[in-house]
Amino acid sequence: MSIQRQAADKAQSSWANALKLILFWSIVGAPLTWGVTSTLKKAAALFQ
Amino acid sequence: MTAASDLIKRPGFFSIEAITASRAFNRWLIPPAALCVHLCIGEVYSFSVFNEPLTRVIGVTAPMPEDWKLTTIGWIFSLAILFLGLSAAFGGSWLERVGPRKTMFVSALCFGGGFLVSALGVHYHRITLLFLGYGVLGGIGLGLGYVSPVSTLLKWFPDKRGLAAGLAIMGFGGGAMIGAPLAVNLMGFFKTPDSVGVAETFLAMGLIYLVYMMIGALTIRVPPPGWRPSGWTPKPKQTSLECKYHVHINQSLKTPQFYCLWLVLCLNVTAGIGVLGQASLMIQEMFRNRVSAAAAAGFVGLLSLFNMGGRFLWASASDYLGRKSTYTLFFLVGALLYSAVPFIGQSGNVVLFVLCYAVIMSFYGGGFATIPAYLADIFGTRFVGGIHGRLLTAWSTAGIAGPVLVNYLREWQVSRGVEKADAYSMTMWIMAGLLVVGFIANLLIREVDERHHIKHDRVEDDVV
Repeated sequence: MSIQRQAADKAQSSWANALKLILFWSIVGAPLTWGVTSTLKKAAALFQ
Repeated sequence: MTAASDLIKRPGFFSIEAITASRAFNRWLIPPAALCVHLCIGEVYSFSVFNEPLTRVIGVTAPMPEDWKLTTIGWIFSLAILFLGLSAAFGGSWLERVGPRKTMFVSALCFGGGFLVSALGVHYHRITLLFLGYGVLGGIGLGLGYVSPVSTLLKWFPDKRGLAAGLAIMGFGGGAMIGAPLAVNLMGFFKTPDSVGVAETFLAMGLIYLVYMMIGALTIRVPPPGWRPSGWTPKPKQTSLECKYHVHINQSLKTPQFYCLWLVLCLNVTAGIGVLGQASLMIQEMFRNRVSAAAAAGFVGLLSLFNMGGRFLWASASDYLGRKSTYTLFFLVGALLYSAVPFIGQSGNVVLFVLCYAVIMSFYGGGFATIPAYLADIFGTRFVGGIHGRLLTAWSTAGIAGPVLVNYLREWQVSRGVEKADAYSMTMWIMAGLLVVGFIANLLIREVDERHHIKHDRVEDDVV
């Protein structure tokens, strides 16, 4: 396998890894952000 | 022939071999898998949003005589917490044997299935189905789901044990913040003139949680044998307690360290949980005519945020401070803050009161999240899941002792003619005393005696 091919495979694999990371963290991050925002809105009543 | 023999050799879908990652695997994909489970099971702390609607399943607009009483409904949550402790204690050794995928899979089936059985219970108005569904099945799902990803994370992050466990257990704190608005919105959506919408909400939540937890079960991986983070080599002695040996689950029960840690967790949780349940009433009674019911609900929300934040913050900080020092901080500063609460209440300073409780709640959350890393430091990572499971009986104990202690002490003082606003003073001082006992228990923790260590050649075949 040529050096260029190996470099291209490595780049593709790191892209796939980065996409996986974004996807996985979004799956848990989105509902958590929604939950925290809802709680913050509720907590704001304490300071009104 | 080759294909057939390949098929025979292929590891089972749930086996540890099937989920052993390659050396190039990115370990930062594991915390989301753990969070998928913890964000779901953390819903248990928001179960109270169902209490009031469940009292008018038949009457719909107002409770009817045939409707369930609040005291009966209260048993659903208590059963879930009881079965959480039991399943974590007994399921922990099973987890070590079968690996995290199977345990997380069973946990998802139990927790999601618990909601589905409960939906049937509401539909047919059978309280036993709710006890069995959310209480027993859901509780088993909770216990198994709580311990399974934590031990896996500890193995992936030997250099950041506190942070790793903190991330997952923070999810448990965050689960209530998602569960409460989700349940309220769904009940609003499914509500009709003939139904409070609880059965449909249980059904929808059961399916959502089942899918979400399954994502966690399918994406979890264990590190290959001998794996270490690149560029990391364990220091000869990182802290005075961090160990290079492993202690078996059953053997851990024969060490004084286990019972000291049990006390540490139990007392830290007792102090926090008792106050958390009374927070809304307490702030309204201590600052009469100054804090409305809506503001008190905001106070509870703020405490939940600090509870969740503390889980991540203090567990991560323990990687640098050391576990023992972190708990020393919780117990000493916590005792001082609890002792200061009555004086702050008398001074009428609401902001200081809120700030004081916010820090106390961050210690409460931090106590939960730092314990797995503390266990790994003391007993090694090999059986930490099982040992963690057994230690969680301290949580179940505190879950009963904390609220009972606070409620009983308050009632006793009020019945003796003490002003409602002052009735919390003695409770706070007792809580401070409990934390001092916890401080002593933490101080007594030493390295496990060599006779309890597993001999290296026996590690693999010595699982329960």
